Amino acid sequence: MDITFSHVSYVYHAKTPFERRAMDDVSLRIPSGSFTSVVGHTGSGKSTLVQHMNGLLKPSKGAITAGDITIRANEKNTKLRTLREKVGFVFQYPEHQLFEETVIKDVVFGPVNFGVPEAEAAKRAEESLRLVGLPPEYWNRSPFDLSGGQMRRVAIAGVLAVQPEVLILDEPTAGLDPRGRKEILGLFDELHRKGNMTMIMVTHNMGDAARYSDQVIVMNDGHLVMADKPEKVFVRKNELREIGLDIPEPMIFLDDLSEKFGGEYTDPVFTIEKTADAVVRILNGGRANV
Amino acid sequence: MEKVIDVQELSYRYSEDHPWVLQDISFSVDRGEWLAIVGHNGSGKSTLAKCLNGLIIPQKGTVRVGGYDTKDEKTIWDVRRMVGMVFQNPDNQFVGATVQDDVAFGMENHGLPREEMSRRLSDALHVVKMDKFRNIEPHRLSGGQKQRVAIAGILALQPLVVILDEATSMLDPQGRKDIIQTMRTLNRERGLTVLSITHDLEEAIHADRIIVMNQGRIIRSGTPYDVFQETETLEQIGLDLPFAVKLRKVLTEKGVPLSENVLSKEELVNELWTLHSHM
Amino acid sequence: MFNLVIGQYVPLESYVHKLDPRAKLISVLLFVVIVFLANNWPTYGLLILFCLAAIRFSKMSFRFIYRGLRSILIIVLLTFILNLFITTGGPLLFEFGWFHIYLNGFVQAVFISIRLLVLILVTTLLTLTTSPIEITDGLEILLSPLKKIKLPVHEFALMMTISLRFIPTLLEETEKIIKAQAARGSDITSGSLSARFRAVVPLLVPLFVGAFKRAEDLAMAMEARGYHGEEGRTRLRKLVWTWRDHVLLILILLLTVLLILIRS
Repeated sequence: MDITFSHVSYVYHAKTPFERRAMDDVSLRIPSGSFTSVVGHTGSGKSTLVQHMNGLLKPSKGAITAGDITIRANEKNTKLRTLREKVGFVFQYPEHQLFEETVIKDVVFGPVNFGVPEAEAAKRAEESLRLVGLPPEYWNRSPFDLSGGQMRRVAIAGVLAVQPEVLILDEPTAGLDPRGRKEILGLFDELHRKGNMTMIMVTHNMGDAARYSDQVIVMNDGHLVMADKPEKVFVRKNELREIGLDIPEPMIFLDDLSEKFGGEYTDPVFTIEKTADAVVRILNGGRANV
Repeated sequence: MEKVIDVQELSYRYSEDHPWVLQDISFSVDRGEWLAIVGHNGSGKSTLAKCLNGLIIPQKGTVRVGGYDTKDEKTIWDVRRMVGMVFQNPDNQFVGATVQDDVAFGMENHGLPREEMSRRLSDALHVVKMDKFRNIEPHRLSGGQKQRVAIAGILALQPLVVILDEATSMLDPQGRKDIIQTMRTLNRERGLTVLSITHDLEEAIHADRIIVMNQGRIIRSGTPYDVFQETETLEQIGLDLPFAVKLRKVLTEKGVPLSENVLSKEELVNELWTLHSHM
Repeated sequence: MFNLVIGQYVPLESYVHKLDPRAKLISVLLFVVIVFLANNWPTYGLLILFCLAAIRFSKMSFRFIYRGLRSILIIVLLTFILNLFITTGGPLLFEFGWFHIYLNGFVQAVFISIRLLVLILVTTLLTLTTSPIEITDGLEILLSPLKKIKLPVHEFALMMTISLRFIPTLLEETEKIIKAQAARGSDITSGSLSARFRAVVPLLVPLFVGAFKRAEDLAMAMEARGYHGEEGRTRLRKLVWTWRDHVLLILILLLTVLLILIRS
């Protein structure tokens, strides 16, 4: 299911002294089955952008199309439920949304709300909990007795159990330690590759954005400033720095190294392995642009 | 070296039927150093932090701060004045209605005279570069700014040591950089003793000393160079190696002759440059 | 956004803003009492005059206050209508079916409405010109004699300060959880009444869990920062009582005397 924005703007607290334009004339396309990262510093409008994708916010201007559903400004939409069923949303610190007595009940909550019969919902819940790697002995415990990392898995399972076609992730690894980060990102990568799920991830980590995505969307001050393949986005390092964003770590390093060698490094490199190759080339050539 | 904090054979568990969260921990913090305690979430490092200012009293062993035992109720408030603690969640430690009220909170608790308070207040806000935000309410500050206010509140009490308990883990990259930068300046220029508790090894490479914790025990300690000799151990307990260390490993495998003392990106760049000049 | 000014603070530079919160609190309290002295046209006129002068000196615009109080005025209007019908006596002014409006009813309705209106005006003016923290500080000092009978005045004031500080944080948290549950198909902002009702628990439980976690963290942080009750505590904020505050109290007393003299 493709998602397209055409000239979408969003204004907070319209017609009050607190009026603020959070998103201005944004047009974009997210192809079905792709992995898109949304980057931008705090307050750039990236959260506002993704909250439009499942109808949590409605545009003040413009239109959003997701599959066969279209949401237009100033128009009441009756298909919001269908949209939210198809587009799942994992909020930042999703463990804060848990409320049920047991893990399994909490995971069932989503699918039941969307009208999935109890038995089928239970089956899906178990599948999702297996997918996020939470062993069955935890399923009948209170979610509040689990560790922070486990709670987050439960919350993610709760979204997956609805079986959305598109998954929006708002900084899904915030506050996790390195192992937790790796596991959660690995899970999403797998869902994307094997399950062909469309992924949209808001992140502060340029390395993750570069590694996992087909498309990187750069937001600044409510405007969409770039939307392209990571190799094309991250070579525009000066533009990115101007709006307070970094490039992935390997590129920062190669940049510094090349400067020492009296050149400039401009190729997109995202992995340690490729960085090492580039370093060897620089050493042998003595020049950066090889 | 003067010991600011001295921990001897500390063990702690929540109650008798719980397993030990911390076991047989001994270490000390020297005046003026930057000590990093690293470990994954649940390794016991945050519990350890709470033992250092008497928020938790261990069942076994002793913790001494500036010579005072944390078990001694008569001196506990002196201990807490000497050990400043910045917690993980910027929101949940901001007590005051405005920036200046929050910075003053600790001083008010310790009964400082009013004139002294306003002098230290201006000073502390200046150090963390928050002068302009004096009368701003917390909900209009970013996470990084709130943490800087928390640091100012601690500095105003002129502590012996500042503990950063995962203080950067909820911040965006910019906020994280700001906090580390502020603390490094304070450490170097004012000789402030810093104990940073983190799971981010990239943050730990700048420390004078590192203590590695796993399952409630200290498993390694030493200078960053010592600790990063055994990269496998660190990876095994779920930590992510610093970029330069990872790259050095791959480069060494590719036959680039590099020394083992490379931790930061700057060091690696310099070493590669030296290597090239000798080629 | 609620278009309501009650409880809002508008920072401006004015005589009323500069007054000591204690003076303002005492005056408002006295005013609330002496309002009940008024019982004829001149006394009610005097009250209105006093309010208008106070607003003038606070530099608040009349339009801003009127717009902010518009929704409250409905209550005043209802009171007016109610009094219009229930009070009898005096010449009959208007008759329709079994509706009778007498002169006394009309006068009574006007008086009661004025009374309500001036009460709303002075209390609104208090919050508009005094920050919550000033009000709390003022209350703490004014109530401090009650400490002698072991009332936890300091703790109460601290509780109020912290609650006020956390209101925006909790509102933000609420909005986030509303959205998170809406994304899971449980939307409290739309749908049928029963659907909304079912969405209450999934909203409240996380809110309470979150608030308790915050409280726990906060207690820990306060302890770490040396908070151990009121004993030995100093304060950065100092309230300064000036000649202006004397003037205000004298004015209130003067108003009281005048009301007593000209009431019938």
